[in-house]
Amino acid sequence: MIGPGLLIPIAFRIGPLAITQTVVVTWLLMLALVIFSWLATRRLRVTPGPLQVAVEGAVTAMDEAVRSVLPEQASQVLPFIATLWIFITAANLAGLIPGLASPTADLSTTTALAVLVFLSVHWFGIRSGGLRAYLRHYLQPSVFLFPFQIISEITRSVALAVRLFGNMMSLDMAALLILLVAGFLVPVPILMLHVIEALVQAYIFGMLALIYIAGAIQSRETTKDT
Amino acid sequence: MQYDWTTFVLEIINFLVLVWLLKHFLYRPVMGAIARRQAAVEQSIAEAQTREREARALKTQYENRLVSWEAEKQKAGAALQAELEAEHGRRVYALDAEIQTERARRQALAEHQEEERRRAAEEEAVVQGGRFVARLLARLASPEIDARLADLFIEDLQRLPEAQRQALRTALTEDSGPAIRVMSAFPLAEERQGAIRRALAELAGRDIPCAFAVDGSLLAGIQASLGSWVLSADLRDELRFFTEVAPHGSD
Repeated sequence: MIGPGLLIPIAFRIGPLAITQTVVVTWLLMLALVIFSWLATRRLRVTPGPLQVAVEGAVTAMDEAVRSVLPEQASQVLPFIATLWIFITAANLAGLIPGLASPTADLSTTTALAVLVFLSVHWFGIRSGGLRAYLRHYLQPSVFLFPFQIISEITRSVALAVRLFGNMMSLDMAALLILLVAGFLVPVPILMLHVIEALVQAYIFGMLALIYIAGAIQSRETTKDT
Repeated sequence: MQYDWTTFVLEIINFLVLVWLLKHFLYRPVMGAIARRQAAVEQSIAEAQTREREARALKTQYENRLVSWEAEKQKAGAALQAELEAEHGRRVYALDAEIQTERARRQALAEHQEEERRRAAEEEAVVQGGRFVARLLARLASPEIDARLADLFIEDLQRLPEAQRQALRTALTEDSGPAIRVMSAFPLAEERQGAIRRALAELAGRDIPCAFAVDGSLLAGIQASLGSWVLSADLRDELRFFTEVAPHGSD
């Protein structure tokens, strides 16, 4: 595999398509998550075991977080937001495994996630109140703010992608540099910081996505009121 | 910093696929399990509430039964008390009647015993009196009393009722020989013997031979034997009559 760096190596090619290590790690993470989910939910019982309790606790916590922001659309938004949290957490923590690099340390991945958030915001906004009502909220409270609304939409999505990429790439780089300079076991505190940072960045990314989606849905209601 | 559009597109696809996979393998089963557990909990709560209602209903029912049983117990107790009082009254009445009967029986027995004692005392008094009189008359017996009793004998013969007179006459007719034997406590004078003989002849309607004898056991007086008849006017027979017949004759 690869170490952290600004260049993402290509794992293999499928015709003209170059499959990078980031995509391969992503596939591995997806496979691991799906297998874990299948194993954890294969024999769900009314009286749960320890694994079921942990899985149900995690899913319930995410559902309650989404439901606290969007009580009515929680069931629609939960799969997207929860997958963001799970995938970004797993992707961030993948960098701790020797020989693997965090997919979120690749700008292509974070950009893809940010684009998905950008599109999902509009998707849920339009789905909630219709296209006309959704577009109208860009003209609120004044039509002169429309360019700023567009700039805001773009910059916050770019910020999402760059924030996650920058944090994870810098952590990997810092751990590598300390390992090269100080030697074995010295980067352990940095790796512990990596764990915390991985959880925090995943939470921030997912929560911001949730807030953006909630803003789009609630802006339709604001438009209706006016 | 490298940017790869292929990676960008594949990551978008990967993420969407991952959303579908996790929704299928994680969120839906877990939420379904939670919903089933919630339903089971709600069902358990509903069953518990139903059982609680049933328990309350049973409690109310049993409390009502207890009240009913208590009332029945009170009623049965009152009936038993009344029955006991009635039975007590009946037994007291029966016992009172029995006591009255026993008291009357004892009173009758006491009266009878008193009567017996009185009669025994009377008889004893008569016997004692007879003995006393017999001793007294034995000491007082004399030829004068003997003569006086002979006179009384003659008077009694003359005053006999006609029926007895006829019966004596018939008995004297059927007998033959010297059928009259006259006994006295003291020897009789000739004139007195003659008077007796005449009185007897008058009674018989013919002359009848009389044999006179002395029997001191008579104390005083006359005893005449006419066949199966005995005519007496002596103190011994009078005292025997007094002591044996008089007490029974007083009843």
